[in-house]
Amino acid sequence: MTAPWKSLLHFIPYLKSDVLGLFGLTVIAAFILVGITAPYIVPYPEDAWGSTYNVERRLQPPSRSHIFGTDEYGRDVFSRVVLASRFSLIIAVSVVTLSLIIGILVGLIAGYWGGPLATTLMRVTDMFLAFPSLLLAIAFASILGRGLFNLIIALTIAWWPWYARLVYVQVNSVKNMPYVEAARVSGLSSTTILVKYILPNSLTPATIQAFLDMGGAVLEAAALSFVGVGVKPPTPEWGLMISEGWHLIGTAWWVSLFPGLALFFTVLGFNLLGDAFREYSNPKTRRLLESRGVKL
Amino acid sequence: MPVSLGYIVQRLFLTLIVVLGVVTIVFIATRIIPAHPEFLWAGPHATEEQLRKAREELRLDEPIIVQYVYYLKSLLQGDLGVSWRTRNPVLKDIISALPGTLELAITGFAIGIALGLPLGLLAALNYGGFIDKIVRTSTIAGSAIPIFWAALIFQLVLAIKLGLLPGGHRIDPSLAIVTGFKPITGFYTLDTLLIGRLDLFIDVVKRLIMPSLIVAIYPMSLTARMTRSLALESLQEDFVRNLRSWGVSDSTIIRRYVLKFIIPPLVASLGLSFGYTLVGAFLVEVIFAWNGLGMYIVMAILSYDYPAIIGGIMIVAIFYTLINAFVDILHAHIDPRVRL
Amino acid sequence: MKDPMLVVKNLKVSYKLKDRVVRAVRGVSFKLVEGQSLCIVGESGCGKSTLGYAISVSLPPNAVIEEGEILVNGVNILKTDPVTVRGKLVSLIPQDVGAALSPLNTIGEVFADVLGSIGGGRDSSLKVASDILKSLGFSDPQRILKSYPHELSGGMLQRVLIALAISLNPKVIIADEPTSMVDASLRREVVDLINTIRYNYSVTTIIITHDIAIAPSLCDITAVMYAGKIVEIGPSKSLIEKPLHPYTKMLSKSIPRIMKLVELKPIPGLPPDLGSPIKGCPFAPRCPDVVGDLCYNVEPEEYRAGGRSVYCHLYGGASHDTISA
Repeated sequence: MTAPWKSLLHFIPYLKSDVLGLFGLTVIAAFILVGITAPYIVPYPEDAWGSTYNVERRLQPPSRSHIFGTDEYGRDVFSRVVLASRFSLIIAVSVVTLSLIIGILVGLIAGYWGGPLATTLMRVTDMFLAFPSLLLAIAFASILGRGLFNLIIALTIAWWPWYARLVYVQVNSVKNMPYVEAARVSGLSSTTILVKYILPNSLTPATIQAFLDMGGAVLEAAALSFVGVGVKPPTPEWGLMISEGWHLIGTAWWVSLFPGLALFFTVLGFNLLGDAFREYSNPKTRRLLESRGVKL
Repeated sequence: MPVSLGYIVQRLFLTLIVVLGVVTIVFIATRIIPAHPEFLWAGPHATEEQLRKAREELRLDEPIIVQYVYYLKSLLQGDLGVSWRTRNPVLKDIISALPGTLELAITGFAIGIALGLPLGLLAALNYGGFIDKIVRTSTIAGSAIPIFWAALIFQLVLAIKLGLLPGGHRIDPSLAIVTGFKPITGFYTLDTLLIGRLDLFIDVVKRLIMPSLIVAIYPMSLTARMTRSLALESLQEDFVRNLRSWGVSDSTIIRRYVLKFIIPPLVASLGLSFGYTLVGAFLVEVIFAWNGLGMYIVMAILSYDYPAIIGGIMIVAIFYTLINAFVDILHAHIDPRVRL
Repeated sequence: MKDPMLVVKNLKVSYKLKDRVVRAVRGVSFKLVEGQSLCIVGESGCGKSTLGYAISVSLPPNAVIEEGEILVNGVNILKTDPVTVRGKLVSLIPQDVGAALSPLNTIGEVFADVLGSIGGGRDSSLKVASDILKSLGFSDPQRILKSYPHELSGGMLQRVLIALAISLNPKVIIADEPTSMVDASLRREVVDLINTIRYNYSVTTIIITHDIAIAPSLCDITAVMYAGKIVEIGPSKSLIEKPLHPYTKMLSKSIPRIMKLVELKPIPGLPPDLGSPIKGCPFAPRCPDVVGDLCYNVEPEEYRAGGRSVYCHLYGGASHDTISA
């Protein structure tokens, strides 16, 4: 019944033949692992949290004791880059989960019950989609003020409409599938049909999409922090750290370079896995993969 | 093949509703969510007197619906409030900043498409091969690069370390003063040519190269990826094999047949991505001290200049909605298959 | 005896898939003289289309020619730049009339590009195109050239495709299932058209079909393919009237005959998987006349009789004279 889950099951073995996708998966696994263990593995935990000011080792270039150098406050950049992965993980997971929940509620209500309520809900969704998401997030973040929690709220406001649309489209197509039709004819209640048939089949694509979108969430959160409406200093966050090194770029390039690299590789990991998944699940390229146009 | 007037009217009506939605969302965000909207309006260092005036201006003591009507009315009159940082009406500031952003975004967008289209075709023709792998990897990498960071690194390497290109500003500030350069259209490449100053023109173009290349990364990745998948689809068609078997060369097949299938859907999705290119340009502007809307908004953010932040973002959202409508109509115009 | 126009020598073609290699054509040889025509008959998956693509130099990119050569007028087309071969030495009449042409380009544009590939301007190309169309029975070629494919009927499109295939005067034409996608009323017309170009342009034709019934009306010679090999080849008339190979016999029995109410017998079983090695005669598992271990273990060799060739152990040792073609 749940074809999408089945296709997911075959995706992991498929990755063996897709080096880039496998690399993406590895990077993501490392990101999650480091995010969880960060405070215990960094060489300078106090620097990482940002509560120190070490005048004697300000702006030191990369060396053996500070492999990514030190920043303006003499803090170890490596420790901060590593710990920042935890904040990015928290932001990405929260934004994506919250957006997904709102999106599912809106998409499901609009898609399953239809009528004027559906029209209104989807119109509102379209209005949110009229903003480039980063700008909408900047607008709300600037009104709500700086801080981790407000950043998550602002990004969620900008993100949920995408999932609402996705779930809505999915519910609409699943709703008319023969097996749902059959369930309805056989007299199952509308709640049973919703829970047993429509939910599992329409949520899977949105959930997979949401997981792959975590890279985008990390990137947008960093952009928000970079322009000054994200997390508050001294929170270690890649976007904020790049911004802190911005005016030092000519003299202490390492302050901005390394957080940027970490950000880049994390997003790259999600994008690579996402691309591999698209390549794998698109029936057109799939046919190409399997047969390469063979006709015997 | 022209589109019907009915379709255009219908699409514009839809656009109007979305624009109304955009301003409503902004209203909710600025008047209903904050506990004291007058603080946003008058700035962080406002006096009691200024706050009182702001309350009056926004009619905060009246019911929400009345506030909303007055809000719409003032918007229709082009009143977005006054930026307390520049002391100018916000709309005036935005209008003078917009050309800088557009010059950068359009140049970057054009470069992106000009590079992305051939790359995508090349990848599709070598499906699964070495070139395909390179293009696929670099387009994915291209959409993973934090644009503001890329701008910073480019600036470090090309401007600061190697000194190949100027590291910022739309025009050499001292040269502009010496020559008394005054923008006419706001597009400096055009303006310098209009006043016939080739030296200024070369300076302006040199300063445009680096930021526009960075802005181009995103549209280039997207174009290449879209073109690749669209071309892969078309190249599988029977008619491609047939043309080949009748002796038509691959380049002719691509140029005169496959492109006809690729361009319309490409226009549709690239049109939507122009909005993202624009936002990308904002972040690049900040790094390169580029006088445009992005710089304006970020400066406003840094000084808590809310009328400017909100006005700027609202104008961009409306602009973006209009672009979408235009692209839809254009798409319907060139692709007979989507017409209703 | 004339020099052969088309020689196919021990051709082997396979497809490289992700995890395996499929041997679609496993050693095919035949010769045709100028103007002669050959029908290649077989079920889908027997390798007949691959053979057709190989001869028309339009194999998909993952196909590999493992062995063999194809000579057209003495030129080995596998060792020649495809651009000088396609359309000029060999050309293709495609199968699916509906999808054969780009819906966004006019017929005239296609002719201009096909004729333009040997040089010559657009106007002269269109002049030539209009002459060819006229010779194929179009009364108003100018209108056809201005039309999009969807504006023409199936029969007209079929003629346009034939016109495109012969427009560069190829020596050999391959028609891929020319009658499979047209309805019965057009079948006659298509057969006539192919015969017309065969005689008027004295072009060597290969017809690929699963319908053995059309063979006598279109082709001098018929070859029956099974599992990537020719199992029987000979003059069409005698091959169909008196089939030798058990597979050919079964194919003939599946022809619906007008006036004669014969029970149609579909062939039981499936052809072998060409992705794995084949031992013995590939038809043995489905063969009603299978002769024990011999068929399962030893691949049959060619046995010749009365201008015909058959690859079957039933005729072991009955080799008499040589095949006429």
